[in-house]
Amino acid sequence: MFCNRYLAGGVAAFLLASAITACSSDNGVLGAKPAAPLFKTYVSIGNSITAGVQSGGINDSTQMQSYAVLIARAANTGFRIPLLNRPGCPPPIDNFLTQHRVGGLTAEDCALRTPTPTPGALNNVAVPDATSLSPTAAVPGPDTLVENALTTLILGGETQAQRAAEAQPTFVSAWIGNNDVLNASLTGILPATPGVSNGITALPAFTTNYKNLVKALKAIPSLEGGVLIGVVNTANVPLLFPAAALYDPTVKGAFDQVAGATTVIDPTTCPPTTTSLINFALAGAIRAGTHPATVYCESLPSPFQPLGNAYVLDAAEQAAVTDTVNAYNTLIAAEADTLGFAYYDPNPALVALKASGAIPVFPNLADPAAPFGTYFSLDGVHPAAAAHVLLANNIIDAINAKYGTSVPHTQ
Amino acid sequence: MNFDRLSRCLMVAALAVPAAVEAQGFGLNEIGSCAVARGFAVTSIPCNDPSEIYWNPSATTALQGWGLYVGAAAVQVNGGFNADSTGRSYPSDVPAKFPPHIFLNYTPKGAKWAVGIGSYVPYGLVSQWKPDFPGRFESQYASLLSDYIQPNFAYRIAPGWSIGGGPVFGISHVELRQGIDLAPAPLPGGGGITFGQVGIPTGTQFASADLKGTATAWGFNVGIHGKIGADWQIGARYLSKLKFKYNDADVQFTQQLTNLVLAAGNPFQLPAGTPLDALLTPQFSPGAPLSAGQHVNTEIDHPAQLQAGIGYTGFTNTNISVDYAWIDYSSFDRLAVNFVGPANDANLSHILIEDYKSSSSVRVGVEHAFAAGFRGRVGFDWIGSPAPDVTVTPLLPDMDRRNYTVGIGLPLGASYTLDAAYLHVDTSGRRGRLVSRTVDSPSATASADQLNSGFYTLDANVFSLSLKINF
Repeated sequence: MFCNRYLAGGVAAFLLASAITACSSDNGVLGAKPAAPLFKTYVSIGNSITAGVQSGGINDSTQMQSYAVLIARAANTGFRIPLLNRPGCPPPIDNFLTQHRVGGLTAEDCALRTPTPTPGALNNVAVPDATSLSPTAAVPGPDTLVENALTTLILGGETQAQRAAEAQPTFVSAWIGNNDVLNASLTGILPATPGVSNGITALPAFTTNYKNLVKALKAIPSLEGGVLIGVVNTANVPLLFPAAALYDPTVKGAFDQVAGATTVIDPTTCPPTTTSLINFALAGAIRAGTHPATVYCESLPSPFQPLGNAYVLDAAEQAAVTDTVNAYNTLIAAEADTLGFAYYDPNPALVALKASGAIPVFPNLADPAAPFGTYFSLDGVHPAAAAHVLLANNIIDAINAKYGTSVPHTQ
Repeated sequence: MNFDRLSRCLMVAALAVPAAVEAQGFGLNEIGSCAVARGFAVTSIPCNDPSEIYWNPSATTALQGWGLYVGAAAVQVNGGFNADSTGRSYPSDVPAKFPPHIFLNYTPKGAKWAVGIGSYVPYGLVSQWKPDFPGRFESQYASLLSDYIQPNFAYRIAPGWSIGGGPVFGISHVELRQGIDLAPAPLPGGGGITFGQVGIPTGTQFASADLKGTATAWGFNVGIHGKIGADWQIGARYLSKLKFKYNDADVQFTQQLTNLVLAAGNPFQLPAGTPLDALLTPQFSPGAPLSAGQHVNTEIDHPAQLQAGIGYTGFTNTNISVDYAWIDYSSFDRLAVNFVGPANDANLSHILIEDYKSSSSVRVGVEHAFAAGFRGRVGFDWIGSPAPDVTVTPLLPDMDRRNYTVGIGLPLGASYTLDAAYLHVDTSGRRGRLVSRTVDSPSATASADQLNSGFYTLDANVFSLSLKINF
């Protein structure tokens, strides 16, 4: 999930950033000799996770923590990244409670790209907000709903597939599809609703989009292998917490603190046994006065809509999201087989993290620098550095198992 | 619009030139096949042909009668660039070139003097890279041909000792073709923000620039030659610097489509679907920085050369010579490129930093006269590069070189001799850069480690044929 409105204040941020990066001569990871010939040239396709978004922002620091960069490093292969100047574009949040961003700038600011000293194709072509349609859609294509300034800032007028082909990759990773369900999961409104929810991409459309990506990959003659990564079950993102947790006075107190009001838990739609998930952003909406100070856990009938629907993912909706993601991943696994690629499903690892308690059920407001623990960043959606390491190593394991390579784990 | 990269390219255009192979920097030594075969160690024991007019202008007193020496060399350069970041190799695409030489000398029988004239190419050559070469924004094609015409007069001042020399008139033609990168160009009205900072990748070619210029210059070439005892000879020559001023060289800019299309929400705040090329076209309109019919002024100093040698003729039918050559490339430190017209108004004029240093080479040659009547020749040179580590570029990826030469002199009757030579240039390669280095830019203070992004390789093969006619 990513904002769509950065550049308004970009010049000021740029001036700040240019002083920091004026002499940058490196735009990525240098590799002398790849760990395996397969990794002579590695390109990563994807969305915000692959691009390196953390805490609702992205900069050259978060970009370098992306699992794709970690894999390139482990494989010791050259990897050019579209580095974005610090403080970022937009700068990441560094305080969950105050929503303060790095450098004191806003979500509207963008410090622009780091000048690249030498020509050369990008290796990380992932763009925040990209959906299954984005990698192959003409620019601008029918995907304008999610195109944003970063689409141009990273791809400069081409598609991910085109930029990937320019690099003449021998190996590719593709992690796309999360944004086909994420926005709907966070808004709690699964049908596409202009201005409210992007909705869930229907399986036939997703299938068409993904097969177009596979077709584009097949058209790259240099490609020798790759890994396709399954879609995350976005019902599990830490930003969504169980509504039942609000019956814990401590949790309720924390929620009310952020909401700026003593909220009421609707006893009809929110019994203690409710399995609905609440987007923590509801607290912000209550504070902003755009939502009454009552928490509803099921959709209310008209004319009270969207109360109980917005910010709420009830059991049926969770099932719908899960079913959709499972269907997506069945397709992706099959396409990986078709291509002879490795396949990696990130969901078991993320679920295990949640089950282990490494990801708190409810944001830890006592630690505004890490409210979702060490594995998830401050936006409650994007993995933090530790999770990227975990993902990178799991993906490396999948690659090694598929190709018999010995790419070492990253640290 | 300040197309910084462009100006830097053009300055180079004017100045440096192609991958010369056998000599330091952009020097070119294949002036006479005998000299090539003997590793250019010919100032002390000359080749006994009119090419002495260049190699040692004083030694022509030892020739007899009329002599004509004419020929050419076929120079084939092989090279490439291996990029650090991608590991990809980019072979060069240098066409073979054929620098000619012709000398005419007259030494009356029994006279102490000689007169002659020669035309030769001591500086020049060509570099060319394929269209996908990432350094094409520095140089995609460059050609320099500097023809020196030298009348010569030599006089024997004492038995075994001569002096000689003459004025040199140089005509130099330079041509450069290069891509122009959009990424470093500032956004119109963008307050200094470049296209690269809003996502246009470095290496996005939106135009090409072609520069063609001609210049003339005067200099001189002098020499001294002497014999020490029966078996030793010494010689030296000095070719002065020629300063070529390429005034009003033609520059032609041509727009090339990027075919990039702006996405929704683009930082240009333009509608989705806007072709990026439409934003750029006005830059080529009359009066705009890249408009047609513009000119550029620049200078290229062709360095002075000093070569001295000693030779031993005491072996039966065999002589050995060793030379030391010094080329004063230290004058080649800055290169100003001054546009005339809208490009200058747009602050495109720049100064390129070269920082060359004087360089040396050691040359060794052996010649043996076989009983069958022909002469066999071999030679070896070690050549130090004048380019510092920070100035190894696509235009001239200069590096230390080792020359291995072999040749033959074959009499064809009483009046004709055919000289043939083969020279192989061997190098160990050298790290280099793809980007320019200009005054008042961050690159000016950058180190070689910061600028260099890959490894250049270079080798070359030269075949030289010359015909000597005595009459």
